[in-house]
Amino acid sequence: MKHLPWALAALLFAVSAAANGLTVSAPWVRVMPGDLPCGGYFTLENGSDQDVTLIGASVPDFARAMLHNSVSENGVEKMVPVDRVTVPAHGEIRFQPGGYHVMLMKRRHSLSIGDTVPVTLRFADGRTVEASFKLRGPAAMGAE
Amino acid sequence: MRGSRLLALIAAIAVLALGVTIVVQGYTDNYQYHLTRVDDAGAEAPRPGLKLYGAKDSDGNVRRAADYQGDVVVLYAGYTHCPNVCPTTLAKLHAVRSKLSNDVASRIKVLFVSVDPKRDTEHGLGEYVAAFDRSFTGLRLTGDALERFESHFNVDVTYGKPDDQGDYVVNHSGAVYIFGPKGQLQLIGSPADSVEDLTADLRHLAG
Repeated sequence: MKHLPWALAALLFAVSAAANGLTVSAPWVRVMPGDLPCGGYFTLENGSDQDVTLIGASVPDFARAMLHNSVSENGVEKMVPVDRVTVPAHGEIRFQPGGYHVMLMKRRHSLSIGDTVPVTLRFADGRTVEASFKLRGPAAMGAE
Repeated sequence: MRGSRLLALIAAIAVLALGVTIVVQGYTDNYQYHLTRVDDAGAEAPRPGLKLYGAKDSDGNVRRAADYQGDVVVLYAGYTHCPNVCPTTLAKLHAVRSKLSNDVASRIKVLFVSVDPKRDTEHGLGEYVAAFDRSFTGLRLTGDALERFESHFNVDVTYGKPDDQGDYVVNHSGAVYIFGPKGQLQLIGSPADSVEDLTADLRHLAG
């Protein structure tokens, strides 16, 4: 019984947010100096039998949050806006350095490394999934 | 000397020579680079030397290629408003340095050249690179000098349309130019290279 709080904490830690078969894991933000744009990253697993389409992210601690993808074309690094991205049934999508990311601009206040910011992922069918994104420093390579 | 003995002597010398050759080959450089070697690119391939066109660091001092004699220079062009690729590349390079011995790491000099001088000041660049690794240098070029730098290093840069807040994206070549201790271009990397590959190659080049 005395281990229950730890077990619960471990469970919560392992699965940051789960709703309707959608699970967000390893969510983090690379916090850049000053008020430079930051990148938000996460893995989204779709455990349901239906495809889901991610259409945006709401991040109250920033004035703007937009989905982007980084692509390399003939050696040129480009950033393209992403209006929608589908996560197939029983599939997953990774927003990670070098690829898909949430571009976060104009923070509303200074951010402390180690804190978290709430993020609401929005889907085409109207549902949402919330997760707490861990604030990490510029040299971070992942959520941990 | 009798014929058969002479033959035996010749055979012994031949075997010895072969043995010595095999041993010597084992000690010569058989290292396989992970990144693209400039030497493998053919005689016609461009091999830009390390030229900095009067670029200034965060203290406002002009940095020259001569400043880096004996060092392995890792040159990357980008901009600080880049939310993803530039931070990822610099974070990887920091990780690489942290995996190397202090001695080897001290000979790796990362130079981040801004292709967005409108938003990137010398001071801002200094703060930006220091956030990844205190040894990194941020360099700023403007006008003609920036154009000549971009031309020399085949850095393709296009500026996106500013949005209603004045923010814009910058698409830019992601090549990571790696120069050996004598200032000659040796390897060309990219933001997609792994920390492991970068570490192994840089350790070999700088070691």
